[in-house]
Amino acid sequence: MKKIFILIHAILFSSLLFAGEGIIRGKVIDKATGEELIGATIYLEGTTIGTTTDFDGNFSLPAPEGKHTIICSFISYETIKITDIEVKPDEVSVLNFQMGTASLGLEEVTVQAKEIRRTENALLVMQKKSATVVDGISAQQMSRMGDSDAASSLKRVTGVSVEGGKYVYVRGLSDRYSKTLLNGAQIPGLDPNKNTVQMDLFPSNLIENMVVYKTFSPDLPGDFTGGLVNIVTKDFPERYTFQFSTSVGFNPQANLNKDFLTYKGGKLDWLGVDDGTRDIPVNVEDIPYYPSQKDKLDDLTRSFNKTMEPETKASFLDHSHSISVGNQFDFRGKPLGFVAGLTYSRGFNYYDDGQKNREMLNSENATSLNNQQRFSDKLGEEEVLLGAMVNTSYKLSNNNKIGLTLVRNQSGASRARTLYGTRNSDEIGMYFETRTLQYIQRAFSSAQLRGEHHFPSFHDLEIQWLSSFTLSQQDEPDLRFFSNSYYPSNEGAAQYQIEQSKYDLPTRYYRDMLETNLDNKVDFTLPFDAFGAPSKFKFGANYVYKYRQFNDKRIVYWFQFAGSTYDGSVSDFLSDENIGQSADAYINDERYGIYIQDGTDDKNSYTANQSVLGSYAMIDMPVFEKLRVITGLRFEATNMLVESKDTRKAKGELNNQDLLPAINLTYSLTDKMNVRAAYTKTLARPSFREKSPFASFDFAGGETWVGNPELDRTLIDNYDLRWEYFMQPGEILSISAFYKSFFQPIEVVDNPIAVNPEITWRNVDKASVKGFEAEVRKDLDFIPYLENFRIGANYTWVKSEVSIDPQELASMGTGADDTRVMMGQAPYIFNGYLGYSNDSIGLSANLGYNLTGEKLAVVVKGVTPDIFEQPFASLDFTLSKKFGKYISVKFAAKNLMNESRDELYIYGGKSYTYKSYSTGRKFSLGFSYLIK
Amino acid sequence: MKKSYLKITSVLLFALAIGFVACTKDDDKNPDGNVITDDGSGTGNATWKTGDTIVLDGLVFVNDGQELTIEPGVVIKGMPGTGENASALIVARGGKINAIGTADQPIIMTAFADDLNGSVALTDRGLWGGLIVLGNASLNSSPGETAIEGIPTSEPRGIYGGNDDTDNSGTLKYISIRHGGTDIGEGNEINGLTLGGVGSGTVIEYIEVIANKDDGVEFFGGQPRLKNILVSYCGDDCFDYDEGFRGYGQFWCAIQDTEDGDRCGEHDGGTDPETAQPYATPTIMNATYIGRGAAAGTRTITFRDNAGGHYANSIFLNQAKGIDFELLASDAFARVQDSYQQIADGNLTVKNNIFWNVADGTANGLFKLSAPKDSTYMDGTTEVETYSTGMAAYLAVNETDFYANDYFTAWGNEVKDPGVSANNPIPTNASGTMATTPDTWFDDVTYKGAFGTANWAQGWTLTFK
Repeated sequence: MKKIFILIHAILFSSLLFAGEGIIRGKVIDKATGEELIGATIYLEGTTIGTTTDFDGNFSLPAPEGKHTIICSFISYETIKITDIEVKPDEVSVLNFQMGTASLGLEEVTVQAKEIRRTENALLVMQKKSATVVDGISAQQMSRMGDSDAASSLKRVTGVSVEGGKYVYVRGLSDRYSKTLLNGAQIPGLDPNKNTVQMDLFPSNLIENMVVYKTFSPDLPGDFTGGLVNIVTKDFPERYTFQFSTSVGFNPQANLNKDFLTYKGGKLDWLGVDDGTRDIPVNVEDIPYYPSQKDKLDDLTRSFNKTMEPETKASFLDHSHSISVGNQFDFRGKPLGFVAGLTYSRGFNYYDDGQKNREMLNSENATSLNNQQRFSDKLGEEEVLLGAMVNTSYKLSNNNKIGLTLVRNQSGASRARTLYGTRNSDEIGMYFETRTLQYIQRAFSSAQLRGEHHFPSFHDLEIQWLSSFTLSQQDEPDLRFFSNSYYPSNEGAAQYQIEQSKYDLPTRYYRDMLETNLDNKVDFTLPFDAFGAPSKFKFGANYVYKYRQFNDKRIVYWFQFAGSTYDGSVSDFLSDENIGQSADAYINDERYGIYIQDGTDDKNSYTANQSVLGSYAMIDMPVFEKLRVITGLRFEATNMLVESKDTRKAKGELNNQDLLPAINLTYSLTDKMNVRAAYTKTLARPSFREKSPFASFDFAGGETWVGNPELDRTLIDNYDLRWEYFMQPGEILSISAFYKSFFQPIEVVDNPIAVNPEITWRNVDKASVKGFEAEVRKDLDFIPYLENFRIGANYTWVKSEVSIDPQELASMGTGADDTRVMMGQAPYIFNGYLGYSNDSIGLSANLGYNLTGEKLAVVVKGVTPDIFEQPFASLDFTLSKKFGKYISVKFAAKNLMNESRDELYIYGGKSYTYKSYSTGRKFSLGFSYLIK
Repeated sequence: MKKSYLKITSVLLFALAIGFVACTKDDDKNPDGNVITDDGSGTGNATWKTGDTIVLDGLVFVNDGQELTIEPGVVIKGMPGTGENASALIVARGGKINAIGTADQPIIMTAFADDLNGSVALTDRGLWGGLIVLGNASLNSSPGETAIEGIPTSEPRGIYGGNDDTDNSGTLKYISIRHGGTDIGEGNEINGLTLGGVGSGTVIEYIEVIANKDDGVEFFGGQPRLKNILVSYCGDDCFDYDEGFRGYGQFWCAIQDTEDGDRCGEHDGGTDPETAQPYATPTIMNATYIGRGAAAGTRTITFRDNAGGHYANSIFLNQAKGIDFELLASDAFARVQDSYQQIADGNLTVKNNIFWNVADGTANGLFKLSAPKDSTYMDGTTEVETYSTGMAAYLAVNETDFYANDYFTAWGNEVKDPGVSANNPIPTNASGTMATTPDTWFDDVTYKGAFGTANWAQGWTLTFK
């Protein structure tokens, strides 16, 4: 392994410098506005060595070995002099300058190099100068927190919570109202049931920063309301960087557990790919209908594997490995920057304490709920994540830059689950048992080409363009359900039965999805001076096109003999001797054995496309000295078409032209303090899945989810107010208030006319969300002995109200409230951390706490109360220690409180469990080798 | 409405088949009859004539305002298929069916594969859908209409329920419904004969449902009145009611497959809430229910979810368990509205019946209260269907004690051998005290059970060929 490192080093760090020379690189920005300063002069004191900054404010200065004093000056700014810069041969030193405007009597600031070591500066400056309300997290912060992927980092941002370790909720608004961009380009979600991107697919070591926009401005896509997350990958690393990390994790509940629930998969499962083991062995069109062609039917039935129940097998340790490199060098005389990374992780989840119940209020005046279903729930899950990314940027000149990003992510999740218990509707003494075997394989490939051009000769015009193509896949091969009944008190053969009229027969589903996504965008920015202050006019256009194909096939096992052949062993039941004409019961052409039938429902397959054409114009200028206004208008034309394979089903269409105005005001109370106010209009579109008549369920006997082709888009009026105080570089105190009014919001509703529990999506009349959030990040260096400590906390409080669908309301009994809280909306979210870092001994530690309030989880039929997911708290701890220059060791402990995740009905002061499980504590130990 | 005469096509296909020994699905679906599909416009005011073989391809509706006439002897065959590809005949709300067969020329509804000459085994189930009649009579489920089980909720023609309890959906007479009950997906199957919100103006007599995968006949609310119904060898319950059924029944016969099937009668009151009104209070007289035998462990009748109803002058035979009535307990020994309360209120009676080879043959074994295991005063570990200590404590607080009152005897039931078997349902010993008929719709007869001295099902049914 070591040889490979050396080789990589040799290839990548091919210095183009003269012997005995090093490089000083950095960025120059305006301290007050955060704007990059173009054309600032950088030189070594007492020499003729100097350069100027490019249009990103970047400079690169070769310098001889030794200690230097470096001077940065720019017209009308104070000159900064930094002393004691150490330049070593073949090495890059990094220096950033924040320039203040020159005032009388203070024309030169001298700083010692070692004092410059703030971390979150750049991001906070960006936050400060931003036209809109933003929050964010930087690479440094992510690594200090010990976050391995984007999802775990994002939950540390004000008002952000992450659902299921994957989906982003901003201000508690569900993923429907969030959006994710990769370097500014829209990327599709991997999960067809969700509107947003799975954040755990992005390894943190390739991320420069993540910014969460909470207010809309016309240059952003109009379909976000809670927040828009832009993941920015590393661009021009200042110098050669290399990282190799490896870690192992242990969760006493999930790892090295002999009882871990799994099933036999393919040989490539460890790479997140099915090797074909789960492919459907027959062509469904070839399956004859019983009772014709019995010989053929028997053969086809035998061609399926017999694995339809989980097995127990010890699980391994969680482990993850990543390698990344980055550098910049001159290519044909121009700087070329690149980062490339490869990550692999494999993890296990397991619980055996799960409960999955159903309760019902039998009559409106009953004092307690009656149990309808009481299942114990066990789940084993193994997930493999493989990610590869290359990002290159090439500076054609000081005024022109192009970049190419290639991303490929692959994930495979294998799940085995059993549910066991009683149902009120069944015979007394009967136990119901059901098993689910699932494999979800997702892949995502994206190519993104972009450019930035600056025209100093033409009014300093700036053009940014981007063209991105993404292909995403989700395959769910051989999803298996097998249910039976069990009568412990019966004797002999009657103990186990498969009763076709009480639940689904054994079933296998085969699903695949392919989606292509095209995003093209161009932005023009024209700077000008208004009242002597820098201002800009911006306009542009954006075209996003998506095309999806989704296919669903279903194979059902039937039999014409009575179920008593089943003796508790699934594989025995499915054995060849029980199939069709081979079955013992099959005599005189009667009581034919097991056979498969094509149960495919065409309505579950669909194709869909959507095009969104956006264009905008906006202006960013001061109206007087301290008040800055950013206002403009965005136009979005949407065309969506979802067509079910069952042509009798209504097509889902959406044809809208929307004007989305935005006005953002920033008032600078002082240099460090802003007040912001904004009114914006945004929209939310239904997802393809929601607009197709596709029906699905989690496990046999669970609620069925059915799409609704009639869904319309939602329009939202947003009002925001924020006060922010940037106390010191790296510190912030902010308080925000917001109000959102939704027209035709899409809500999850119970379909009251369905016989079995059926959940669907409908546009309800209206909804409103109001709330406030507060954030503080502060160094404790003003307290003696606490120099190395810092704290941060943020809190979001939200009140939501949504109208209930009239048809559903009618079934909810007399006196029912005609509004409820929004689905998935937490009334409060709290994040807090306490950090310690001491660079002199290379030790850092962090304790993070997250608390999310109760959320509406399931809307229940009729008079029975709805189900709420209970507040959940998590406590994470990380400790890392550096050994020498390159090596560090990190220990992390996550979910230390190990609270159970509970979804409850609350009625008459008593709580009744709907769903409950706990995920266990997770400990990991990592090693990393980093050259920075 | 498309009516494609595929005879020419089938000749062509046959010619092709000689050329290629092809084994495709088309071979099993190659229809020999008038294929009916429905593109949304329904059957129209059609008449299916004596001698016709009609092939249903998919769900075929008699739409609101349409009237379908089916003449005696017509054979209707349902194509195979599951989910929304299932084939079934559905009379939508406001539509009318006049399907009047005769004892000599019954109307037969069966699977496409059935050549009516043994190509399909007697007990083969689930090969096509079934017959569904939907009407405007009232239900007790809110919001007062429901999408019928098995038809997607997005299909408006699958919705039933209204406020006309005397609604008339037409006449069904001498119809034999065979081998139906295909799987509709998501845990649903089609019953042999489904009656959703059907009103009392509808005439339903002489119907056989044989080898259906799900229930034989299922009622969802309404007030339909049914006479001379034979349900045999079905995969689930024989007669099932929900959502406040208030109709009449007389001469109902259920014969179960010893190898398969659940209850003879599964009777629910309401769905959500269970106590919704109007309560389910049908009257069923002269039923003969022949069960699976003692070894199968199944039950004769269950009354639950606040179901009421009256059974009288009937015969119950060969079943491991008797009749159970649901008892729901609540805090502080307060009575709640349940099937047990329906007994106290006189809305549920089981009078003057004969039991033979059912349960242990004792009064307390034949009639049981059943309570969910987490009921406040039950033992809390297992579901209770006997007179447990907890239940005794509970009942002691209430004025009527089910077991102490011995309803079995008080209602005039007796345990004796009526001399009936699945092969010969004509009793030899079925006289005794008769409960009086509540309405002139009922025939006044002097025998218990579905049959007197003649087998009205002989000849036109598959059960009694």
